Amino acid sequence: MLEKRLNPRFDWTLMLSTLLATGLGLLMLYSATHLQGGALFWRQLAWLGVGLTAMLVVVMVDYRFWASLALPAYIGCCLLLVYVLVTARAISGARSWLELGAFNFQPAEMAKLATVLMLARYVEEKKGFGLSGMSLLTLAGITGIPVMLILAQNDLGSTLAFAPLLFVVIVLSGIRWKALMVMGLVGILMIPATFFLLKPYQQERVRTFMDPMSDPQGAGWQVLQSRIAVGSGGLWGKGLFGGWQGQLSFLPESHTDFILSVLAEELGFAGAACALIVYFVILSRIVAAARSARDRLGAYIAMGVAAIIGSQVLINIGVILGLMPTTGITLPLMSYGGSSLVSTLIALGLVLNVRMRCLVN
Amino acid sequence: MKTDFRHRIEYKEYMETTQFSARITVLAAFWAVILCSYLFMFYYLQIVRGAHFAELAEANRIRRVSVPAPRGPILDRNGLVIARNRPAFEVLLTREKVRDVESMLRNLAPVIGVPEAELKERIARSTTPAYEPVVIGSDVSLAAASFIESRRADLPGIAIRMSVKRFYPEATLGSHFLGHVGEITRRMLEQQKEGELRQGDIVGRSGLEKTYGADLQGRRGERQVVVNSGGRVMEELAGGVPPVPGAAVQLTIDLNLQRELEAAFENRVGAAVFIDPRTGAILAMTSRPGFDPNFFARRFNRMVWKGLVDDPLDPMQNRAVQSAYSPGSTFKPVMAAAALEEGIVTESTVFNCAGAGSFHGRVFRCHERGGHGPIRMKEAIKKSCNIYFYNVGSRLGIDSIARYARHMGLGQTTGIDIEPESPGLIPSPEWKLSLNGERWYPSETISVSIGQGPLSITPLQMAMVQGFIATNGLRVKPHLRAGAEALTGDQSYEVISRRSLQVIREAEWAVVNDHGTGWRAAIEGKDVCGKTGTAQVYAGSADLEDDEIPEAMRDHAWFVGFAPRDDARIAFAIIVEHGGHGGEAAAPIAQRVLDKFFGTKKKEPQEEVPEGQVAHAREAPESAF
Repeated sequence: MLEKRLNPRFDWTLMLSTLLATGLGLLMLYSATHLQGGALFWRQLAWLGVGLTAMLVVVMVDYRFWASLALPAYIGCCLLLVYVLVTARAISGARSWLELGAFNFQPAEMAKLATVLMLARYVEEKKGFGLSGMSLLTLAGITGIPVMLILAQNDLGSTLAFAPLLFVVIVLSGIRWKALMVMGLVGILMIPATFFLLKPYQQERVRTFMDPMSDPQGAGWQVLQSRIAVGSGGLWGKGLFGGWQGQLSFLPESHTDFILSVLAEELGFAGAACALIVYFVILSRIVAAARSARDRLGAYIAMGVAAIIGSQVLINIGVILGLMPTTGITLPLMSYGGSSLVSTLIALGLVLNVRMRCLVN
Repeated sequence: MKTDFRHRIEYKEYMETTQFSARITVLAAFWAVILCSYLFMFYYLQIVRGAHFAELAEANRIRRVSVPAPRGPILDRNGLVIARNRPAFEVLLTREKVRDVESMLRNLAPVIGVPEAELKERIARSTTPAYEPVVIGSDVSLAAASFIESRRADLPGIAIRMSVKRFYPEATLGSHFLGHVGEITRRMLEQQKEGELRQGDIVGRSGLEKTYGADLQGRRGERQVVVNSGGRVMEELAGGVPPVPGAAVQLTIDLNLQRELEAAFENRVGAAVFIDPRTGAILAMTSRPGFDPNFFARRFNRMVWKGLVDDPLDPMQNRAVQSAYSPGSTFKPVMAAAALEEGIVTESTVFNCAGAGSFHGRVFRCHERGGHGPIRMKEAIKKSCNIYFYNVGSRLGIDSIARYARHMGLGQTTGIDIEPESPGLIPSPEWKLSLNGERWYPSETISVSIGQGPLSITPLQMAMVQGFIATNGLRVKPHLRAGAEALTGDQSYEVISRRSLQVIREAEWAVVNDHGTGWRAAIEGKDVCGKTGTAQVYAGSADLEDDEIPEAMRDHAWFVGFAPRDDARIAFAIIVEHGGHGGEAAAPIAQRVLDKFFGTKKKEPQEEVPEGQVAHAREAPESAF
């Protein structure tokens, strides 16, 4: 099925940026965890192999075929979420892991991808322009079901990417700016109300974010230590493996949510700027793929992926810099975590797929 | 393809209608703006405020750990160890790392061997932040320490630390002059000048541990270490300062003599001081009952403390220097010296003892109901005749008595190197006037003449008086630390002549060696001299036999003296509370200690301890801690 004429359209820039980001991630992962033995590094390397293989498979078959699997994939993910909810044991407060021998898997990550395909399919099938109230509700429902299931697992972080996804789809589907503004206003007014819906530990995080010094040894610790790690990096950093904030475990979760702090500490402003540029390039290539897509489906898939990756990157870095409360969101491609890496690589595979099969002109 | 073409038209129309491209641009611009602001934020944190955060990171990582200096040992005059240090295990709890402190304490209480309630109180008392460990068990057994250490994984936030505790291998021996150590008090912290000591430091709280605390303390050192967030030491850095161990303090005490003295006391209550009259060096000193200073070296044990404070026998009181007793007949040598010197009597002056006499309108009795008949001074001291000394006292007057008593060191502190010290009391008309506004009655002088009345003297003062008599009036400062010899004031040859003191020495010799009341202290060939005394506790005791009086109301028994008569090397004072007659209760103690002193002692006690000997003692293996 792979037509030869498509080969030159393969987006090498996106591919190389992706590999660069994962490479940087592996390097920092090794640095953050080598004092505890390198087991996590090798495990992540194995996951990278799995992810790249899946990516290759995804690229080879037209995305329309993958999109046709959207419904079964979506239902399958939701069932897995229910299954996990019922059976899985709690890991760090969240019941979100599917245990597959040595490799645990988080269905929430795959659910994001399935939701992207579902939303794209739905918009594609609606032949008209603009969205009726009913279709808005349907879109919200498609997004809402996995969100509810994941929230029930006590995994707030994983749900945070769904809202931007829904938002991006609604914006692109031609909703009137005025209606959008009303929705935005209502959303902003809802924020204080949601605070009271949060669990006590989540409220605590918000409070310590507002005033990290209120409890520097307790909940404010991560925020404070992350800023110290980042700030102490200076221009060129303390050198690879030379950062002690992460290595001496002043910074908890340094290999997952706070991997960029380790990078900023060891490679300094230079390294942090490189990482930001890499993500900027990745996002702009995804947007370019969406612009050049040959149909609605391709455009929405690409922008859906952009919404998920973009929002996670922005939220994660915001936390690193102490601009947002700790959420438990990982940095796509760099943080340790197999399911996140594999699903992100599959998502980027879809984007490469869209780009390869774009309009000729 | 036709359908494809139509599809493309339709797609193009859709894109235009929905302003797809424009909306993508808006969204992309939104992301780009945030990414740019993040880049600026990184710049601000890392470049603008980089130095500040680098400092914070350094402070995070490098911790200064204070290393306490080992306390110097306390040695006897021959270098034997009386106080040293020993290793101990502490149990630490870091509140921040313990999820459920209450249940943790419940589990640990039986292991540490302290009630759960007291552990809770220790936690509650600590004012340090939650990430600082709190000592919950300060001296646990090796078994308990290894039990906890082996279950480290199950006991997060609990750690075992090695520490050093003060150790007194002889337990209660010499506890009063040794004193005890304990955590520094807030007041001591505020009063110190150099700022060398910190909260939680172990310092001398009483006795010699306090007096020579500055020498024993040493100087704390410091380690610089890299720690992780859990406070665990990951790496040792160069640039620390090693602690300077405290210096050894060598005493004038002879440990073997001290042991003999305490053994001789058995379980009786009282005090005793044995002193080298030529230097003021204290050879042995005890106060009974004693306490075990090891209790204080461990962290506070409420029960033990309460027991010591509530004990009616007051074991914390150093009776040898803090308790002043009525001297009874042991005051008679002082009276004799004053009378001879004032020329009121001579050796051969005779008074008639008829068993009682009238002085200043009151009748005073002698303990010998039938009277001693005509009696001279030596006989009067030997037989402890009251009538003789009533006559002497009535002629001397209270002012003269007080003057001579003061000259011999009574009514004032001796300046011994442990605190506090009682000055005792030598009464005078001025004293009585200021006390209750009443004038002094001459009949009161008669009571004072035989050591009764408001007169009070500490055992240490009494030993000093005997030393004064034994050395022809040498006034020295009593001391416990070797090399602290000092004369106090002028030599007194002019005030009390050799001749007068010679008469008293001969009389005291007779007390022990010529059928006197102190015969139980006699040692063949050593010419022990002494004087018995009975301090009335209950005014009616003179008319009753000892076993007719309840023990708490029986008289205190004194025996004081020195040996040998010519060229004395040791002077002493012993009091046995409620012991009855001095000759029976106290003299045998003196005999036993003097026997040890003369009999088993191989060499002459040294006047001054050479420097080398102290240095040698410091290197001794027993003082390694």
